[in-house]
Amino acid sequence: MDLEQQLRAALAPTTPGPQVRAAVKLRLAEKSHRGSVNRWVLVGAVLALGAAAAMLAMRLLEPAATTVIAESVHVLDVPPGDAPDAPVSVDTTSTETTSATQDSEAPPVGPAVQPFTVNVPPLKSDVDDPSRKAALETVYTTLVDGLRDVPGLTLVDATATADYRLTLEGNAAPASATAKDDFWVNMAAEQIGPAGRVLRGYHTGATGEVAPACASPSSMDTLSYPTCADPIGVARRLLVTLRKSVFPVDPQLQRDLRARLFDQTLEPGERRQALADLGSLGRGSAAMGAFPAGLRDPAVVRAAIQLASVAPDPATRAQVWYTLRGSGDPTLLRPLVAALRTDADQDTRVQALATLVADFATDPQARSALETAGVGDPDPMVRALAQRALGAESVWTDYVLASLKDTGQSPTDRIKAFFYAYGLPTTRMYAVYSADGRILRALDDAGMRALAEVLPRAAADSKAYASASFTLVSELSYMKHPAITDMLLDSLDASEPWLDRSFAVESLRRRTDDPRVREALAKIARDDADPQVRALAVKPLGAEEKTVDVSALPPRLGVMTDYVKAAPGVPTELVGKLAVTRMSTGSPADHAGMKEADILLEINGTPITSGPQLIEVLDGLSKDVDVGVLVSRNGQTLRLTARF
Amino acid sequence: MSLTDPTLAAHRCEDSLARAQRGERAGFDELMCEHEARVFSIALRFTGRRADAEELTQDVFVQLHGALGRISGAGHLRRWLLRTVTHRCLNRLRDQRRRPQLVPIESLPTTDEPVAPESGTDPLAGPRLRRLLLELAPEARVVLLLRYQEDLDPSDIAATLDMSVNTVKSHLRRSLEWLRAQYTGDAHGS
Repeated sequence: MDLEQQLRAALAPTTPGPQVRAAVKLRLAEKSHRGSVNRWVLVGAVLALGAAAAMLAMRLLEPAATTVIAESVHVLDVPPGDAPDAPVSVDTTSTETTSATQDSEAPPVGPAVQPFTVNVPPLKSDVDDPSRKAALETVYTTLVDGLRDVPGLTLVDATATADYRLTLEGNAAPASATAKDDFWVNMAAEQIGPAGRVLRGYHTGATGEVAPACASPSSMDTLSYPTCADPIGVARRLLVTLRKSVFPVDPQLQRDLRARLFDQTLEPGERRQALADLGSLGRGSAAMGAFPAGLRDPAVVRAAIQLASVAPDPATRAQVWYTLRGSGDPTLLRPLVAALRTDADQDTRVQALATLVADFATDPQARSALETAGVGDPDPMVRALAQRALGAESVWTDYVLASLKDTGQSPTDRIKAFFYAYGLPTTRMYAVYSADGRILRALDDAGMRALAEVLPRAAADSKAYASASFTLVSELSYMKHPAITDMLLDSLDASEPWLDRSFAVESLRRRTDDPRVREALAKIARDDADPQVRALAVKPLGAEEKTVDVSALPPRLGVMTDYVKAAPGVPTELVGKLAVTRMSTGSPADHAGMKEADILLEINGTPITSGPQLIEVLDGLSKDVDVGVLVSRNGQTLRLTARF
Repeated sequence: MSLTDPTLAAHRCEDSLARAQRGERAGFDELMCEHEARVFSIALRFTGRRADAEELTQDVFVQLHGALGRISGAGHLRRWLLRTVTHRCLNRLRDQRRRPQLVPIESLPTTDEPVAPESGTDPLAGPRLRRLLLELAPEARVVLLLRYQEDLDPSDIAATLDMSVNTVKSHLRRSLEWLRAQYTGDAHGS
C-alpha cells in the first residue's frame, strides 16, 4: 500500500461519543436563554508561587517535602505507598496484553461515594471595574453551583465544621491593560482537620476574559478541562481540578477513567492521560506518600503495563513506570527489569529504574538489573542513578555537579540531571513537582555559579526546560548568592528575555544591599517603558519578602509525617501522634536509623504532639550535637540518636 | 472528489438541512449525525486530543445552528463545516501560543511527544501516521487532513483555507516527502 493510501486509511473518519451531540443540544438550549454565543479560549490554571520563599526554605530543610502535615489513615506496620486498603492479591501471571481488555468487561469497581462537606466563604475581591467584578462574581456563583452537583458533597456555611474550605480571591488587570486576560482567580482548597486545623492546602488559579469570543457550554465533561476563558469556563476549570485532584475519589469519575485506560481502541495518548488522571484522583485527600487510590487495583496496573507494551511513544512508556511507582505490585517487576535492560529511550529507563528502586529495592532480580545498568547502560545518567541505588550516593551527586559544570555539553544536557535530582519535570512533563533540597545543598560556589549561568540558556533552548527553569528561578530568587543576583541582572538586558521583567524586578528588590542592584532598579524606575514595572522598582519591600541564607537554616530530620488515626489494632495512646510517612535517603533521620511508619514520641525528652510543635522543637536544637529521638516501631519503643 | 458532487448522502442532507432551517430539532440532530464524524475527525487529527476535539466539534455545531439561515445547500454546508472547523483549529493553536501555558503538571498535554522509532507493520501504520501528522506545521496538517480525510481537490482546499492553490500543492508535496522519509525510517527502525 503506498503512503497516500495509508494516509487515507489512517484518516478514516471516526465518530465522537454521544456526549458531544448532547452537549451541543444543551448549549443551544442555553443560548436561547442567554443571547449570542461567544468564542472562548482555555487558559491553564496557574500554580501558586506566592509562598516560594517558605517553600524554598522547606525544601532546603526537608528533602522532598512539599506540603504541610496531613491527616492520614493509620500507618502502623504498613509500608508507605501501600495503604491498608490497597489490593494485595495480584495475579503475577496475567501480564499478557489481553488481560486489560478482560478487565474492562468486569463490573465497575471502586469505593462508594464518600460524603464530605465544603464551606465556600464569600469571594475576596476589591475589584471595582463593573465588567470584571461581574465576571468574577459569575466565576464564584458558577463554581458554587457546580459544587452542588459533585457526588457526596454537601455545602455548609461557616458556622458548621467543614472537611474543606475553598477560598476564592478575585483579581483584575486594569481596564486599560493590553493583555488579553482581564481577570484571574486564585483558589485555596484547604482540608480541615480536628479543631479547625488546616491539614493541607492546594493552591491553583485560572485567568479569564470578560468578553471572550466564545462561551462555555451549560453541561460539563467532568474528565476534561474546559477550553474557554469565559467566567463559566474559569469556574469549571477550577471545579475539574477539585474533582480530579483535591476532593475524595468520585467513583463515577474513577469508572470513566478506568474505561478509557482499558479501551485498547483509543490512542495511547488518551489512555496515558486517563492513567495520569487516575493517579491524581483524590490525591489532595489522601495520606502523603500513599499510592493513589485510583491506581490501587491490579487490573489498572495490568492495563498500564499493557499500555506500556504497545505505546510507540516513549513518553507514554516512561509515564507508566513513573505513575505506577509505589504500587509494589509484583506483576511490575518483570516488565520494569525488561524496560531497564532493553528500552531504547533513556528517560524510560530512568523511570523504570526509579520504580524498581522504590518498590523492589531488595529483590535479587531488581538488584541484578541495577548492577548491570550501573556499569553497562549506554547513558551516564542511568549508570550514575543505578550506582546510587546500590548505595553510592556520592556517585550520583558528583555526576549531577560535574554535568552542571561541563561546558562541553549543551545547556539542556548540562542541567538535565540537576532538574531530575531536584524533582522538576522537564521535557516529558509528567511527574509531580517534588523538589528535593539535597541537591541544592550539595552545590558548592562553583556549582551555584554554573547553575545560574546555564539556567537561562537552557530556558532559551527548550520550551519544556523554560517551564522547569521558571519554577526553579521562583525559588532560587529567594536565595542569597551573588550568582543569582548576576543572573537576575543579566535577564534585564537579555536580547531574548527568558524571565518575566516584573518577576526579575521583584526578585531584585530583595537584593538592594548590592549597589549594582540599586543602580539597576533606579534606572528601571526612571526609564522603563512599562509603568507597572517602574512602580515595582520603587515599591517598598514587604516584611515577608526576604532571602534565605542557606548556611543559617535550622536543623531538620528530613522526614514527612502524618497523624495516626484511630483504627482497629492501633493502641489508643498512639492516636494523634506523628508517624513518618516518607524519609529522605541520607537525611539525619536516615542516619539515625529511623524508618518509615515509625511513630515519633519524643525528641530530647520533649514529647512530640503535632507537626508545628515538632518544627518548634527542631528549631531549638543545635547542630553537630547528638539528639535523642524516641520512636515507636511495631509496638516497641526504640531510642535513636540523630545528628544534624 | 469535489465539494459539490451529488451523492445520496447529500440528498438526505438537503432534506435534514431544510428541516433544520425550519427550526425542527430532529432535522438539526440528523445534520449533526451526518457530519459530526467529519468535523470531529479533523479536530481530533489536528489536535491529537479527544477532549479538545469534542470541544471544537461542539463549537462548530453551535455556530452552525446560528448560521443555518445562510446555508444554501448540502455542498455549501459541507464547505461551511470544513472551513469553520479548520479555521477554528488553527485559531485555537494561535491563541494557545499567545498565552502562557501554566497548567497543573498532572494534566499537561500527552500527545505532543516525538514518535519512537520502532519496528512493526500495518497494524501500527495508522497510529504512527496520525502521530507524524501532529508533527507537521499546523497549516500543512490541515491541508493533509482535507486532502486525505475529505478527499478534496487542491482547488477546494485552497478555497476552504483561503490559500493559493500553489501553496496547497506545495504543502502537500513537502508534507508527503517528509512523511515518507519519517515513515520509512520508522518502518525500518532507523
